[in-house]
Amino acid sequence: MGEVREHGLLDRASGLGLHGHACWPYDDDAEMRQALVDFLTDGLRLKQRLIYVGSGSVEELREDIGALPQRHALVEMGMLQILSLDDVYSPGEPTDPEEQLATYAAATEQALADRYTGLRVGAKVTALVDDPAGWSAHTRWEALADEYMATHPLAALCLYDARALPGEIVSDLTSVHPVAHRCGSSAPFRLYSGDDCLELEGEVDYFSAPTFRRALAAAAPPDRDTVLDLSRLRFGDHHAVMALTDPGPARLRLRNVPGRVVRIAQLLDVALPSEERKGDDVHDHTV
Amino acid sequence: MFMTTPSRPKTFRHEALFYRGDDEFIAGTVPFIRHAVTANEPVLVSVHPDKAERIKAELNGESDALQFIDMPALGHNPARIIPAWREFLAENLAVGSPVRGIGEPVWPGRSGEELAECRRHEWLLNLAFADSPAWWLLCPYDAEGLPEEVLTDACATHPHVVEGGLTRSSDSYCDPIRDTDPFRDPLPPPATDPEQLTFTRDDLPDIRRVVARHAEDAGLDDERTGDLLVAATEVATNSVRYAHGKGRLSVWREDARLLCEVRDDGVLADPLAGRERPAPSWARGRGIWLANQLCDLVQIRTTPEGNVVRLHMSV
Repeated sequence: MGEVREHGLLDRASGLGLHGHACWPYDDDAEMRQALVDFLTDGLRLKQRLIYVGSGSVEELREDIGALPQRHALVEMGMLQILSLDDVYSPGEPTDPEEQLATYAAATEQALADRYTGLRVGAKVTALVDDPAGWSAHTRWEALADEYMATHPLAALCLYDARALPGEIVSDLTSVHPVAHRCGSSAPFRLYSGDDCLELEGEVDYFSAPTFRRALAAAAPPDRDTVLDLSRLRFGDHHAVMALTDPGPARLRLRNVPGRVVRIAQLLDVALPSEERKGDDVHDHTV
Repeated sequence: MFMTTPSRPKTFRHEALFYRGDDEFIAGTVPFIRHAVTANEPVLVSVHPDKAERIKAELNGESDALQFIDMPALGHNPARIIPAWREFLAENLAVGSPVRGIGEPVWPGRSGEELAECRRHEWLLNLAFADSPAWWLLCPYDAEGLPEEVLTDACATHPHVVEGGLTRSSDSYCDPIRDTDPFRDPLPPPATDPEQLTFTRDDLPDIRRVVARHAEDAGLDDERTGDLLVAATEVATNSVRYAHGKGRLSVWREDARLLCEVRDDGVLADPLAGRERPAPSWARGRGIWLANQLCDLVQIRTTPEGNVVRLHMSV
């Protein structure tokens, strides 16, 4: 797509483009509704088809977007769909990320076929992470969806009720989105998809290094090489460097390694993954 | 000139050489080197480059087997010197085949803080190599140029002193295993009002914000600002991990230096912490090591109230 995706911590869920992907933990419902309406309003301006999907009845969901102008007309015209989570996911059954992605990809293609610029999804999906056993799979799903969004006109705002979730999973979820709500549980870094690589943005230190390791496991599958671009790493202490030198099953190649990261690795006598070579056959991040 | 010392020590032998003038420096060091060369003992000489040139000139070609390290470059932060000796020993020392070294970490013109850390370094050498196979380290002190108290301190940190061609045992030597740390004197209070911040685990980014702002105000370049941010983060992380989850940061300017200090109520048990290159397999021990490599000077004190780590960056 050529342009830089929006990334970082935001106070309001506005200004996200066609490829925007934000994780929005919230502490009260009014805040959640404001974020949702901000996000969908931008979609109207960008001429993306809108979907709001969440737990609860369609009637309840309709109330969440009560502040969206002319929502009845939008629904009538097919510009806005309101879906109960139960209609999209099978309750009690583990979601298959590939299958899930195929559904969103088909909806995105349909939106394009219907002359929209793409698809924009607000998703209130706390219920999908109510079981700790499914956390890592869900984080992997977020990373997989993000990879698709980096190169396709699908934007999403993922709303999670921080009151109902432990801080650790909230931190993990925020860490695999390019944008996250600036709040207490949000990770201090983000690992997300660029055109042909993963981007690491923000700060990684001792306290966030375990989250970084889990994010890497979610976003860099062991069955292929992943290029990790470090040009937006604002700060990394030695725990960040150690995580890079020992990235688990991920097959990493590095791009734009900051001099300080190299220096810390040298001082600690540890080897970083090799830098990307020109002509490396980088995995094409398209589905 | 003959030394009244055994030609082969049985353990680590640590001597101070008090010299007056260039000739005494050469007379004290060159025969020491020649003895080693004759016995096929590897020698590492870490002194000012000018002095290294004098030694090489005097040896007139015999110096091929010697290694030289620029001491002002290596030992600006004296905590980096013991690791250099360890590295030399790892490559050259074995039981029954001793080595020799000459190290001059103290020279006229060093600041009071640097001299305090040199003194600490000299004392810690005795601890670091207490169980080492035999080797012999000679530490020249410019007895004309250095203040009297520095020489007094050298007598406390070296079991042997060589002066005027004679070697004597030092009466005032403080054995690091038998005696308590003689250099526990508290660090001087900040010369200017510091900015202070009490921190817990969630405040590490704030620490970086505060330090970065002071670094910018002080005109520290990006490279060294980054170094200081890593060092401050590492030290503060230690407080959170090992000192009841919290600590207190102070940042201030003093003359041409920016200082960052972290205090906590922990107890750093190992006085040699940060003076050994961590092996990749180590679970811990990297934070202070990195601070030592990244900062111009690091001062560590364990007091009854807790630990103090003070990081210095020249501006």
